Amino acid sequence: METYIKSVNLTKKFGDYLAVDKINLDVKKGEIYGFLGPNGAGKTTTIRMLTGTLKPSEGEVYICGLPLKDKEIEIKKMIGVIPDEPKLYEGLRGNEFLDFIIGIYQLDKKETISKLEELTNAFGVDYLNDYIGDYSHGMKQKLMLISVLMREPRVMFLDEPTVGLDARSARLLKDLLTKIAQKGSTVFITTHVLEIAEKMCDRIGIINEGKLIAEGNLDELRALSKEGNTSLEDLFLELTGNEDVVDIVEAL
Amino acid sequence: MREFLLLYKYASKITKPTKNRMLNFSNVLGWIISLILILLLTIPLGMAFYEIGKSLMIPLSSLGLDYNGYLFDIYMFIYPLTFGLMAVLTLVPSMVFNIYESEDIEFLFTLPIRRSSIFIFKSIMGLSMGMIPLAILVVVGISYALLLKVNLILSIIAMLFFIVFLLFLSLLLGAFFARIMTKSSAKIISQIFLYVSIIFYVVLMNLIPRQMEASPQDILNSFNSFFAIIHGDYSYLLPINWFMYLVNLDIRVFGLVILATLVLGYFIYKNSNHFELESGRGKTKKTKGVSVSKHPVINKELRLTFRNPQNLFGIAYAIVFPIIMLLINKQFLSGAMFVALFASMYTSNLSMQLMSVERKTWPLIMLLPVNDNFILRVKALIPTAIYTFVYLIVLIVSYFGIGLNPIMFLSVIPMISVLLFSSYFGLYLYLKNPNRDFNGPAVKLNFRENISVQFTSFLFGLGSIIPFVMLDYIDNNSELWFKAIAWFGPWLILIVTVVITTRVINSTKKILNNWE
Repeated sequence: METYIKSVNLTKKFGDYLAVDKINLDVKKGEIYGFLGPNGAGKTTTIRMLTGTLKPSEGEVYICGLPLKDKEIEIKKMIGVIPDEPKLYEGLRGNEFLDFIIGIYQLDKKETISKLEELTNAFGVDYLNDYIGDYSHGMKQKLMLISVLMREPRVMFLDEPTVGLDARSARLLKDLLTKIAQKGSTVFITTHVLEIAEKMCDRIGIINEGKLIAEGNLDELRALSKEGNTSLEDLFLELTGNEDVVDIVEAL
Repeated sequence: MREFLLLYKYASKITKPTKNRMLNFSNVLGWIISLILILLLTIPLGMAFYEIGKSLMIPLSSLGLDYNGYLFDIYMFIYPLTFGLMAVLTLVPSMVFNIYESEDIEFLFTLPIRRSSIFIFKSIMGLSMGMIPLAILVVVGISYALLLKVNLILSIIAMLFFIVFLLFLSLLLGAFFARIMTKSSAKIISQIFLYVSIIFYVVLMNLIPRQMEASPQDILNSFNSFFAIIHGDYSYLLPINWFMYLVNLDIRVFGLVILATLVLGYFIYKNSNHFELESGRGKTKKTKGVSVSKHPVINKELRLTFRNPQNLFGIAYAIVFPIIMLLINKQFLSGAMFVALFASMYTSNLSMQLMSVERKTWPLIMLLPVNDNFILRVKALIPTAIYTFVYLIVLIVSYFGIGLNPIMFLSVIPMISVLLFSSYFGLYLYLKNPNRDFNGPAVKLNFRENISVQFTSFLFGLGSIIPFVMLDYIDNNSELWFKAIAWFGPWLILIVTVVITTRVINSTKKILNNWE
């Protein structure tokens, strides 16, 4: 199977602080890859390096076989990114932002507008005439999602995409991502909602203190448990060294 | 009051701490420069007003009208009315914009502080834009007081009462707009207010030269009916007359102004305690079709440029003031100097402001399949194109208005280079330190940066224009150095700015490529 996301010894240092330490990823075409980790583990830094918004201190990134270092613009045309916070141009209206995206990616007008209509209806987006500055977090998140989904990118990176979404939209997103992966796109997703990772992801990588400490499908991860944990939540806590949660709560 | 002081303390803490005395000095110097600019704009107007007044202090009774007062009072009615209105029209949008642009306002709402305190504090922080019309009002008032030969100190105190009244009126209108409107519609209304105030400027300033030439009889014929409003039995009750009556030290109007200010204060307090930042959600239901543009980046930048009232203000001022000065002095140079001044200030500021949008939405721009250098180019070229267009307008008006020598049109060439330098230098300074204070629509520069970009651009701008003016004065007796400056000065500046700009572009590209 073709590799769509590949990183080789991906490392990022901020001064003396090692944020990401030699991460090697190999995510295949059509795969949904869950990237989990506690706060500050290095998830967002990794995504930023994979998407070209942050230059690695060491290591290489390849998207759909192309080196990110040399083919940044071509790669950016193939990927779609939903950052952890939807920061958009507040002085533009929603439809103007979409117009900007369609123009930048040189998308086919007729085809894209038809997809756009389906997506706006599905997500209940009826506020495109309003200024983005007036949107709530969830409304911005939906606009950002629509602007990426309408392009049907070959690789999608989503950093905490369900934050701010209502239950219906979150469910819709999960179903759409599954469908997109079935069509052959690769989805790289970070989330703190372990249920999402458990239900959606083909494979899961767990990062802690900048190191990829575990990787595999759910059964492979279960096999790593020394305490026989079977739920992803217990596994995650065991692997990231946060099992003392129950004791802390009781002490409090 | 305690809440107010606490907010002030908090506001002074969240701004970037000053590292050395130089920066504190720069703040003081910034105030001094602003004051000098205001004085430069207002004193000539005050003097012109005084000169008109000297010949028009004719008692109305001697002109056959049964009123106490002077013929000149008609101007004392029109000017304060216009500038008072202009002050309100610039203060209200400035306040509303400052409130909506404040990044910390949502946080402040969560604190146990009265909303009225937050509103008033934020409004006062955004008052700077209305200072010019208020200063003009004071200068006009002083001229009138001198003409009336009343106690000047008391007159000035009376004027300050009126200014407080105007500020309170603006605060109430600001509270009203902030309360009933969505964030974006309040901004749009602000823009309309700004346009209206600029139109006022143009109309009024165009009237001055004509007024200076009008005879008393003409004035009387034109404004005869107005005197009933100004000097009728109950005229002192009309707020539009208050300024004139206050300068004349009318004790009844003192009382009225104080009373009105207190009433306004009460309503501001009541109204602003209910103020909240409404979302525009639910106001529009239909989704307008998405059009696809061929130049998405340029379209986006233009939209963002012209939707920021600060930018509109900068562009409008750069057109309006030079034209006013041109028409008053009948000299191209007096107008051109203002173009150089405003263009040097606003070109770099506009390019920085356009880049700051990307900082606010970061990393969006980095995710798009667009070359960094293209982004940089667009952000530098748009301000350059806008201010070149502004300069062209001034040239065209000068050509048709005062018969400017057509050779002056050649000065556009070095001017483009200067503006490009200013634009790129602004981008370079911004990218060198993108973590600037975002608490407001403008991107703030420190003193050294101001000097390096704006002052240099101003000098280069003058250096591109003045030699062309000098060409008109060259004759057989002209000194060689004079001829040399006139012939070669602008082209030397063109070469210098091209060389510097090329270096600045290279440095800026490097910084942008490493922007994370």
